[in-house]
Amino acid sequence: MRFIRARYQQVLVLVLFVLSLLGATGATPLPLSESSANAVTVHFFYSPTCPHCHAQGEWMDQWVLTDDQLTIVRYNISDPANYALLQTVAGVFEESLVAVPFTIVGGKHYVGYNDNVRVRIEQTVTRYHQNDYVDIMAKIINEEPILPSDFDTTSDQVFVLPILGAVDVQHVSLLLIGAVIGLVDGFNPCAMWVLLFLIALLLGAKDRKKMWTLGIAFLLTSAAVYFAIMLSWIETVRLLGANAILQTIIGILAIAAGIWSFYRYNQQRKKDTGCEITSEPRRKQIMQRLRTLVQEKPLLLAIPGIMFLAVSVNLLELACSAGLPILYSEILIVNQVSAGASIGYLLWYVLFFLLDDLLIFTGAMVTMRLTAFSNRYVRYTHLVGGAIMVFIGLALLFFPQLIMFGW
Amino acid sequence: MILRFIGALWCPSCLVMRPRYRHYCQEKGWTMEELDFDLEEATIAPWEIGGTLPVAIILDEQGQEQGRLVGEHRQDELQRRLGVFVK
Repeated sequence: MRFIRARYQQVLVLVLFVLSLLGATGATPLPLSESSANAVTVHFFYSPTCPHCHAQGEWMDQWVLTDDQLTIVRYNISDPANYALLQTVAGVFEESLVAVPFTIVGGKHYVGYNDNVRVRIEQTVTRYHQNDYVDIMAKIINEEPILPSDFDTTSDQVFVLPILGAVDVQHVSLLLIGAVIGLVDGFNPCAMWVLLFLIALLLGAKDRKKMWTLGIAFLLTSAAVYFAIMLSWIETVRLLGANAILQTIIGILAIAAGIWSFYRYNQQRKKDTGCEITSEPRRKQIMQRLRTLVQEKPLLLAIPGIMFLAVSVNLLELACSAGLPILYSEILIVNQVSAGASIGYLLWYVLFFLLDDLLIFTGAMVTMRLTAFSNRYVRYTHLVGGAIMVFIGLALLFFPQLIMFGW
Repeated sequence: MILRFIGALWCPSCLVMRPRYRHYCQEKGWTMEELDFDLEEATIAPWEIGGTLPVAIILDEQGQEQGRLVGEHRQDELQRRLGVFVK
């Protein structure tokens, strides 16, 4: 996970900084163990005449210099005994392609060599440094029985793509689906009217500082409310433990909500596209509060007022879109994303959720004119949102592997 | 002709349609009156605008309603639907 790696690097830098400070003040820093990693052996079958083998061999020559817990055992298949061993190994791994380079690391094997294979081998070795593993090759050589559990069925999640470099499938999938669901969720018009009204009042105030401050306070608080609700959901499910019943209930509710969204889309398709006049007393109350805050209160008093209003509006309007954020949280849970990484993914989701609001707000602040997205497009979010909800609901109930990325 | 536009500050469709109506009225030499749904309730009440904004009511010189358009309309659709009122 890139988030974890980035976080790990930050923590490492901080730890090293603190340790260096300790050293500078005469305190004895804790000795960093030379290496607490498991020793890992990579078995490499090659032919001297094979160019890919040569490339892999050169890479391994460099790699082994940087990892003192790594051993590379090479098998030249020009030697008939090694070729026979390769055939045995290929048979054990049920690999029909008996070709070189052929690499075995613990319970995994790789045929051929390119950037993808290199990254996967590196990833597997890194994982084995931290976890116990079974060296199937050693078992073959020692003529020990190979058990089905000896094979490492963990999926290789990394692909090396042109320009992008190493790409983690799970990470990219979660980011992509978070962006799509967040964007669709953001176009939900429930809380949009408050932002539009606030911007209209702010434009009337003609005080740039006040405009930016109150607008940002509203948007950031809205984001914080959303983030808090999604994180609370994830933490609650974590506390309850992996619960199949809960997953089933969410699946059923998602399908129901999806069907409701289709129904709403169909209803709106028949009517004039426009703004529905609903909940008048509550809307008037909120509008009056906004007017008072923007036009009468000094900035320092208006900020907490706007923040409080953003909390109440977003909580009240949550029923309008709770389906999608809860479903994204559920996807993170199903993928067993760590607590730290979940925060990153939720922030990513909230960023896309707020994207349309940010565009409208920034556009208005820069041009001093209020514009909005047509409700014609907003209508389609019911269709897309419904499709997403039904798909995730069905996946939660019957095909969870569809939303378990990179497993 | 007079085009009475009833919209609200919080309504995205009103924000989309207002400039379109303004442009049309300017082009055809119509008078456009803009009313705010929240601030001019008493003025708007007799027009019974229903549950969707914006509403554009087309009036003749005597103030008699000739027709109305509700909600959002594409530019070409607007030209076509308002065109029937052009003398």
